[in-house]
Amino acid sequence: MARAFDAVYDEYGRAVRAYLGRLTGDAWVAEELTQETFFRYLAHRDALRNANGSLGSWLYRVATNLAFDRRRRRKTEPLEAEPPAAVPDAAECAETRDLGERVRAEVAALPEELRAAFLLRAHHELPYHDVAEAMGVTERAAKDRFRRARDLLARRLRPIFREDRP
Amino acid sequence: MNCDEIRELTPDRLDALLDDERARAVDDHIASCAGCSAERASYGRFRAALYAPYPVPAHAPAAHRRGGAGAGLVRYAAAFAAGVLLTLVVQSARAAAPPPPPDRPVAEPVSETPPPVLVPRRIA
Repeated sequence: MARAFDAVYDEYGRAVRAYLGRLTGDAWVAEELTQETFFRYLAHRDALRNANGSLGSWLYRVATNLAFDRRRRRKTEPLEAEPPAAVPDAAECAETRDLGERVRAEVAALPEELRAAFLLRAHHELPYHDVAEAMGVTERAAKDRFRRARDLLARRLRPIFREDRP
Repeated sequence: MNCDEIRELTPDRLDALLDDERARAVDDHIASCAGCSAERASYGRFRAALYAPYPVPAHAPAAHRRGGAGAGLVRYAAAFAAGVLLTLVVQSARAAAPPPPPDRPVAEPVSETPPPVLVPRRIA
């Protein structure tokens, strides 16, 4: 599974960063976690040399775990005293007719495990087997999470999409 | 299966979530039913819009930031150091690596996002 670091970074760096950006909703956090993901590849690449499975799945799994761990840690830390967020949430975006913004808001509003499954399958086009590996679950569980995410999004967004049709 | 069942299964058919037998049943029905065929086309257009990757958000909402200004500086310093180190690792790996053979395939971009920036550009 292990390969030259620069080749691995060239092939997966952008995709892992984009995945983390959509999973966390923050390009700054995505940058940090992408760097951490590839440092972990550097640290483990000798062990990965004889491992079976997809390197992409391994990287997505590390990235997913880092994002979930960060989210769990943040839940236990005190909030910084700041004014409420000025960014529109999913409900506010419902006022708009911009489907792209609605998709972004509704994906961001999904529970994180459903969001990860949806992003890996729909946006990054991983096979279900690789989605399962990346999330550390069975293929059946990965399919179930993806289906639940898709159905939630379709229920909320398809009526808007139809309204947008000429 | 009737039309309602077929329409319920159409998203799963497009997402390769059905076993072969049910996938064939859906395909056979749609091939002979104009209404279900139109519904499949309509759902396909919605699905294409839903699955189109959107740009990565540039900044987190303020309420997601925690830890105060000091923590922000620490985060920046750590990310900056990590970025520099990762850049050096990539550069040294490239310098040490032998030139690729002429038939080495060129890596295709895998995302619509801009090229990676290893050094964070923003101070929290």
